[in-house]
Amino acid sequence: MKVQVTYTGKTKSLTLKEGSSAQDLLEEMGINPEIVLVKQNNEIVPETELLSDKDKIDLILIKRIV
Amino acid sequence: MTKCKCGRKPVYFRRYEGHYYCKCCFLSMIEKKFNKTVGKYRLVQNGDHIVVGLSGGKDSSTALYLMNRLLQKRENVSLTAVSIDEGIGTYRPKTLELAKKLCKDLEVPHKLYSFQKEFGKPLDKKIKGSKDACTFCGVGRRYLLNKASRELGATKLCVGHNLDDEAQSVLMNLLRGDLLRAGRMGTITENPAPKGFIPRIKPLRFIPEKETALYAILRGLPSPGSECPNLGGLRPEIRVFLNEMEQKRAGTKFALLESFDKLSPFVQKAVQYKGPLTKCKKCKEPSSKEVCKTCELWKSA
Repeated sequence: MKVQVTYTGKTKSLTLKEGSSAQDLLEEMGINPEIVLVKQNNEIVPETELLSDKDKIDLILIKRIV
Repeated sequence: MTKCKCGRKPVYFRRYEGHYYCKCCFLSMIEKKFNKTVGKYRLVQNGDHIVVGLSGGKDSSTALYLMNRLLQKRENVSLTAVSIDEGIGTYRPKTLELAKKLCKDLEVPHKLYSFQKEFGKPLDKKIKGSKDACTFCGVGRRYLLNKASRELGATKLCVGHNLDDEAQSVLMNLLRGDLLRAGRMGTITENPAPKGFIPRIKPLRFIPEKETALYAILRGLPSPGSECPNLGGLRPEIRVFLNEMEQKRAGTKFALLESFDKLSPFVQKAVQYKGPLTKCKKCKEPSSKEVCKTCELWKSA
């Protein structure tokens, strides 16, 4: 499946395995879940939430790291 | 599909306890936790005038909102917000606007103090690209928040330090070998306060940063957005390390802070900390040295 991810102002498309969760997406992007909140199609969800094809994901950075 | 214990759709999974929370239960849980910390450590007492240090960021905004909410039913405790304009590029003016709006919405009196007025120049001009920006800023801000609180007749100074901030500070103090500073940490510090010092209270101290951020977003308070451009020193490295540890072992930050709090009385005894025993010979503010750090950094020629 393909999802559209927006993080720190940049948007990109990512291909994930079927049944992937937001946690899997963060792992794929190398982002520690401690530093972001996840929005799936404009709703805040836990990182354990399963993603679907064509989902729009916003990652809200809690605090800049470097 | 995962659900909150009330049956609604969750917005948050609290890894360190294994529970899901919907919006309503999450807000309620944070509010109870805040109130419990205030009660357990007796952070607010009858007759208090609480000054909240309000930067306009998510943590201090959440602290002000929750404190104001808690005090709604108490007529004998008053609340004022104080913001400090350090003079940081375009960053601080934006957050000060948010602070001003929040105070207007909550009908909380709001006072503004600035480095320019107090020290004669803003932070940006003082540091001129120095890597020590956070040291100059932190020392100046603490000094001015204490002075402002005293001038306003406050009995407590409330700051928005969360669990992450405090766990980071524990580790930083230990790594620096700064037991004197470590011994001063706590949910309420400088209490009873030496003359000139306003006791500082930290009611968000047991709430992780991610939860204060989510609370701020769900309540429509100023939430994560713009960041201070001056980020340096040891803290960012410690933050990365603790976040990695938390990911590997959920509950690490709590364990670190709670362990340290248990050790704190022994640390205080070991360093024989008795509070700032003298007054700075230049500014007359309380200090543990002949010349305080603020005068050393900000008021030297």
